Amino acid sequence: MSEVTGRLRRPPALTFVMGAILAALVGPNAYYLLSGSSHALQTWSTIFIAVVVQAFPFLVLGVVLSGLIAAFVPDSVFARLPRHPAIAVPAAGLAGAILPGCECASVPVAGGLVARGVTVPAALAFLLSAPAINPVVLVSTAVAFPQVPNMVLARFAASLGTAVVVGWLWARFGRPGWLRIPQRRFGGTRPGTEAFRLTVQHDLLHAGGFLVVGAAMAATLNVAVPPGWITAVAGIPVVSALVLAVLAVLLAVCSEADAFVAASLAGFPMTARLIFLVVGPVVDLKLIALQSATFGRAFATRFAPMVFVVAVVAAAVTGTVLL
Amino acid sequence: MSREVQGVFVAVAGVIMLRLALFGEYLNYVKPSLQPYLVAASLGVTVLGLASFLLDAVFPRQADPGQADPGQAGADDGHDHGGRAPWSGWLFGIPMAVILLVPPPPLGSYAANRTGATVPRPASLRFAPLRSGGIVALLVRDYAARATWDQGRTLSGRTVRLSGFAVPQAGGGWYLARATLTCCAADARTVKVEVDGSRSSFATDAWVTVTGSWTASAERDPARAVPRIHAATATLTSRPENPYE
Repeated sequence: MSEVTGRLRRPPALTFVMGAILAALVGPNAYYLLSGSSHALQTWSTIFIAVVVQAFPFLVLGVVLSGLIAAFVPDSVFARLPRHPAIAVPAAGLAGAILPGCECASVPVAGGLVARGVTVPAALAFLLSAPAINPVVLVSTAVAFPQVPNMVLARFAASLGTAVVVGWLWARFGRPGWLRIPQRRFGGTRPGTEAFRLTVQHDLLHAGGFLVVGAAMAATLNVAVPPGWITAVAGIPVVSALVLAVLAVLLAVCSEADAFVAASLAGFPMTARLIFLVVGPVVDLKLIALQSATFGRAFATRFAPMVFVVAVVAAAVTGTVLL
Repeated sequence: MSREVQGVFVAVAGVIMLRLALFGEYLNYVKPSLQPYLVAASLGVTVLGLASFLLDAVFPRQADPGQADPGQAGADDGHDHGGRAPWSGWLFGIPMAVILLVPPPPLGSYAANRTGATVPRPASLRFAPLRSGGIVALLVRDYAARATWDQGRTLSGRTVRLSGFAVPQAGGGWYLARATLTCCAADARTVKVEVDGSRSSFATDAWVTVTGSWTASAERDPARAVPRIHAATATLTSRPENPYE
């Protein structure tokens, strides 16, 4: 009803075109006036655009998979999945190994799984393990750490352990009100292709907007944190590990690239670098933004600190044993 | 964002990304290997947006099925009733507008000045001999690793050519610098080589090709040494298509 009147009141395409023309006229001048000689702002925009461009194909992959799950997978498939967390959580964690992407792809897919009735703890285990233990990430880890063959094993074990422990913790202590269950908005009575198109479009716009927020925060910290601060703590045992854990959250490096960043952190102990590799794919700024888009802010504010603690502990223990 | 606008918005975003991926500017932000994925993703998004534009805005059905779905309206949390997308979708217009109107330049001397000039230990300390022949073109990062961690062994007696951008030093002199990407500019590492024996001075961020030979660093410890090159010639060049290596 409001759709019809809305269409009559403001011709949307025209508004959009007018807005674009206005932006084209005013935008560059204002921008150059502001940036002027400011190389910091230019560097900020380069990193901001780089994160968005890098994440874009993976985000599209994620929303397309989520659309396929919403539109084409019959209910009988989800009805047959195990529901008891003792089995469902580790199974979902292991299933994360087959999604060849980074964290930007896994959030919409996990949202799509919950919308189709997969239990929340299982979907969360999948959400956490997929960006960390898929073959692309493990191979890049092996390439980045040729002298430390155990690094791949340690990363796999600590990441899967984090995913399973968090899934179980959520199953035991999580409250329904903490998480907004994503709705399957366009399924049911619609033909599959239309449900697919509408789901992909909705998820793309929703997650895409939040990705922009995450990219802006990551770019800000990338420019704001003086690199000297980081190298200064490399030699201090516990502090160096915690600094790398926080750095993994702030820098929001893609999980397919973080191994090379960790390899270049000369002077840091191997366990501290493992913590960087385990924390980054499960908690970082753009991931928190994407998670609040899919599951709500109340979820993200509880989930991120819990995952951070579990990931740091899991990586510290694994690193002490294996590295 | 109403259903009618969504199609146009998504299609325009797809076209902007496709243009970025096809005409080389994407190399200012990400690695060349991302191109096929970028093209595929932006083509898909463009087709999706055009389909939605036609189906939802040009030829909308009389009764909007979004309201006919049983059990959907009640379960909804209100912000996207009848196929509306949440307001957050508009935010994606910001990077699209920046790419279209004011594409930021590749990382340059500002980023280079934020890192030290020492070279991290390479994965392997075995360096293959340089290609035989006259002048050998090397990656700046390859030169830097050989100059410090190999104490110049594979470089001595050879003439090499390096391309990068100029980073003036505070106390006179300048570095030749080039950034390396793993994935995107957010994980860039800039490698700097101190240029010796060049009397020419270049503007900050000017692209320069240096031909010269290895010269030892003042510091013997490779972890703390700054790589140096003794320049025979240093000339201005145009920016390469891929500003990173």
